Amino acid sequence: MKSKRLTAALLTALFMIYSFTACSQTSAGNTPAPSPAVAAPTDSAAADSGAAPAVDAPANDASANDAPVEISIANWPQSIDAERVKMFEGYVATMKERYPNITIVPNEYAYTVDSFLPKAASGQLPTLYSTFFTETDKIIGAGYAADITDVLTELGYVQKLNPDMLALLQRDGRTYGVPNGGYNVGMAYNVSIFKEAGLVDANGIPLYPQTYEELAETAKTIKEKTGKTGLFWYTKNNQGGWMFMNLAWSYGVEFMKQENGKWISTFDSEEAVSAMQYVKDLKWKHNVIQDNLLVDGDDMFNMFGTNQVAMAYSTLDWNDPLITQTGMNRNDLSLSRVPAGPVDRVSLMGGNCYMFNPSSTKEQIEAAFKWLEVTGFSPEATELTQKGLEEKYENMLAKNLPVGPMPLRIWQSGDIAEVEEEIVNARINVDMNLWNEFCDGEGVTIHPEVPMNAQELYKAIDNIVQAVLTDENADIRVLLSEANATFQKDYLDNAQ
Amino acid sequence: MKRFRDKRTGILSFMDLKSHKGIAVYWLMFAILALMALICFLPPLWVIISSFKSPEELMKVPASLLPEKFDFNKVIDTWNKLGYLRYYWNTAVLAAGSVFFAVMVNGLAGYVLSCLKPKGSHLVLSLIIWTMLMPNTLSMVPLFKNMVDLPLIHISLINTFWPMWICAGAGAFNTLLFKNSFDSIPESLIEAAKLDGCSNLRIFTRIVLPLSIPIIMVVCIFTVNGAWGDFLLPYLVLTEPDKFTVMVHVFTAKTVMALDVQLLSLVFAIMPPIVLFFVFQRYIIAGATMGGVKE
Amino acid sequence: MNRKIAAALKRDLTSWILLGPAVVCFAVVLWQPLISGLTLSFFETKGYDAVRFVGFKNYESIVSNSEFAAALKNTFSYTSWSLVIGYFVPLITAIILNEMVHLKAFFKFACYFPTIIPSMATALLWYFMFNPGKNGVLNSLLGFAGLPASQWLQNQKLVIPLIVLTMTWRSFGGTMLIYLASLQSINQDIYEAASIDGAGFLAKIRNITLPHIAGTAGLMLIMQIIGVFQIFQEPMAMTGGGPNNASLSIMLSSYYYAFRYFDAGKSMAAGAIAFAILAILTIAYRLASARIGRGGGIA
Repeated sequence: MKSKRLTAALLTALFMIYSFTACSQTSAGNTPAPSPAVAAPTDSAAADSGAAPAVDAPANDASANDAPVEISIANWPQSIDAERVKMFEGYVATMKERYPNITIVPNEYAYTVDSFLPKAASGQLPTLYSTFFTETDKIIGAGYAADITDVLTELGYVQKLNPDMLALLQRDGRTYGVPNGGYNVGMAYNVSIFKEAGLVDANGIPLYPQTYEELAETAKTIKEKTGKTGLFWYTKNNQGGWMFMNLAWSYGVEFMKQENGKWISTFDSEEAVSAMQYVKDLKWKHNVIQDNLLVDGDDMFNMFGTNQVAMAYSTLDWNDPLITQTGMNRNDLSLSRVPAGPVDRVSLMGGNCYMFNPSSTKEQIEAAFKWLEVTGFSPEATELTQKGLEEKYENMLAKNLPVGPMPLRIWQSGDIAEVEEEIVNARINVDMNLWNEFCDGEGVTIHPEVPMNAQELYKAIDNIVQAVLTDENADIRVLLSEANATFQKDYLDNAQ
Repeated sequence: MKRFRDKRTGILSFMDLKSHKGIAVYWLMFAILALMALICFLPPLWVIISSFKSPEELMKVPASLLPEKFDFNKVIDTWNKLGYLRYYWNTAVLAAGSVFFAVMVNGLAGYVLSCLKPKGSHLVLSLIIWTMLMPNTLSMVPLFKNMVDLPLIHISLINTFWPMWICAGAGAFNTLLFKNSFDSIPESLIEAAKLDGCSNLRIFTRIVLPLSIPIIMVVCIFTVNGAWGDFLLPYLVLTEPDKFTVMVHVFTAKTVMALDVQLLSLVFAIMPPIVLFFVFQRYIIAGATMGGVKE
Repeated sequence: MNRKIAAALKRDLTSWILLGPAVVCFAVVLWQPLISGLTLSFFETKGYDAVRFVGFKNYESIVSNSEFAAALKNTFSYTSWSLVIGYFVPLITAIILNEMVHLKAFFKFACYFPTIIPSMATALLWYFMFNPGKNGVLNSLLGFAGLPASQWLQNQKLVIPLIVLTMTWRSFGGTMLIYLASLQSINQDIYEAASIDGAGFLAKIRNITLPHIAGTAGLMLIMQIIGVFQIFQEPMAMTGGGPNNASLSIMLSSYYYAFRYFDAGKSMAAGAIAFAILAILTIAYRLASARIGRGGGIA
């Protein structure tokens, strides 16, 4: 018996040792980012092109630096998407011609919540990948995005990029990504339902509600006239909290503030109570939102795109999934400003960005930026970027997506924005009257996410939204003050 | 009624079925089962048929029972566009390897733990049971790290089927199923074979496996179905499109397809495991075991 | 004497060689990852890398988090509901199916069918079934019967039993196949002898069928408790843990910690807590079954 125990103990011990060595080895293989000094020889060349971003700079680079570099590019189109594959093959051909030393490895990986962590933790991320503003905080915090400050500085991009968006990708003065498309939230209108309800002007443009009160009234009219759901309200997977921000800020809610270096949670205010009361009234007083109260963006696409619901918060970058998934006619879609609340008219800023595998070399990051330039991402309009952008919009035309409304400007200076506008204006395929009010954004305050624990805050709000929508007797004041205290205790207190 | 004569004995024997009471019990059980089968079979069938609908009709509440029209061009189009054959082949290779690992590796483990019981094997058995208690979803990240850089020998299994096969070989549940099933094999049979000078491996392949056809078939069904439907690990491991499994292929293509086509593409994806089910289920029958014991 | 030891060694050696592949697979896929995960639960983490040893701080932080009590309670609720709703369905179905002469293959297939169909199809199914509007499938049925419409998944009291019901529907076919396979090895002579002795069919179930599959049934019981205790995919897909955390489970919260907030340390700690509870349950089960005198299928 004794010897049995001993064998068991020995085996366990051996096994533990083996486990630990396995641990340390895998994490050692994961050491990120070599020091910039290693990349010294190329620094000067890149710095030169950064100081004088001439049109022909890339060509100079190519001749000066031809050490072979291999980069993998995520979000490569699937074979089923033949048009986009052709477009990407065109990019590759251009790259080959301009930068023969750069090898492009296609990678069909696309960011998903499930897959990102294993990929990142084992160092398997593609050199260049794409993600959303909502995710950047945790990605940077976990060290899964390369510090690209030096490359950006040398390229001269730092001053040219939209500072509000860039701020979302910065930590302690270092930059970990570049914005690729910026969008602010608007209100989407299903034109065909509005026509059915008679809520359109002489030109067939929906009569946009301008305040949240009008929004509820419009939703009621829709329900009375068509029997369809007036307004889609987000409730789950943190999107209930995320979209609530638009309403809450417009009602004057401040979610947190900093006092003497300490973060204080402040969403148990009267403003928050009245904003949440508005949500509750949508269900229990006006009864104008969808029956299913556990829903997120995917459900919005499915319901809005198949003409079951007339209005929903949406953004420009959701046009693609909305139309592709449901086959909705692009002419039935209109996006306008968010309604105004009693205090302000606030729209949450969202969007997506490029990030880089943290173990990329400086050469790889530079090569990835050259790739981006070929695809149309650069402050200066060159022959290359112009071609890339033209292909991008041609592709959108081919897929029946709306071309015309422009996203938020990524580049503050440089002429790319003007050139892009020209390219778009030559290809408009929608009635711009359905989009103008959104694009002009008159009176709209664009607001970035809260600075601390945004996702955890959204989760807390999700719960309250679900509670007030599923329980007529829910006490908003109690729910908010409890959530506020818990958020302070669980998260903000730990962040000091 | 003639078929009753073929019935093997069970809780209702052929004799019982001659009495009115026996017949009544039989048909009552039949009715219960028919109801269960309808509940299990009709709703998914309805969803599958719904893939003929347009997205708007598909999501409409109240839902329509049958599509307004059956557009078979959509079916042919989806088949052609997604080019299933290559992905069927990939998945078949993956599934076949998984079945081999599940039956051989776990079967052998069950055999050693049930019949041979070498000194110290109880420790392995306890470890297997205890690890079942640990939530395996959380081991996904370190598991994937191991596949990227295999401990001790440091090779990467990325872009191969090995990670999925190794996972099939680490089926704690299957191992316990096998052990549990092998426990009911009479020890005398194995002792007799040993006296005849059979090696351990030979006893396994010649006596234990043939006596356990039903449970092996069940494990085959589970493994094929699992390999066919598994998404996350293959998606992480397989980076080159020509190695993709059906599910990975369909999933990555999802973003460019409309809802109805997504659904249709999934229907094609599950056809092979359905066919294979019918192949395997035929062998979950009595006789295999008893035939062996009787000799 | 020496020869005896050598022979025993030799005998064990071949056994261990046969066990080798399984041990390697288990080590790579389960044991090393789980131990590294448990280790991580005592560390402050950056992404998936340990930064600093913090002892039980992750555990404290989780247990003191307001969600934890709800998740713990819900997890037990899932488990008990699954025993009530789910445990006997596959067992009874298998016993009945085993007697069938007609349509046996179809019944087998039909019961297993829900396991094969992809989750997108089931999601669509639940979307229509549980739609809380008056036009949802189940609410239409209630309407026919003159009953008021239900909120289904949005009802905090109904959500867990309903999720368990869908899980049972989805997975009982597989368990049924296992029972069915186990039933095949009952010696038919015993049934015949019992018939001759005049035993009714209920007596045969009680005295022959059930004792024969007791081992399997015990194994399935443990499996079911373990499986349902670790539930997270179903609530994630159907409710996201809502409404107001009414369907949040420990493992769903652990999943969120890791994948939504990249807090591996806390995620692992939540997993470790689930493990500890299961370990206690298992020990209790084994003590109980030892006292009753049944092996319970394992070990």
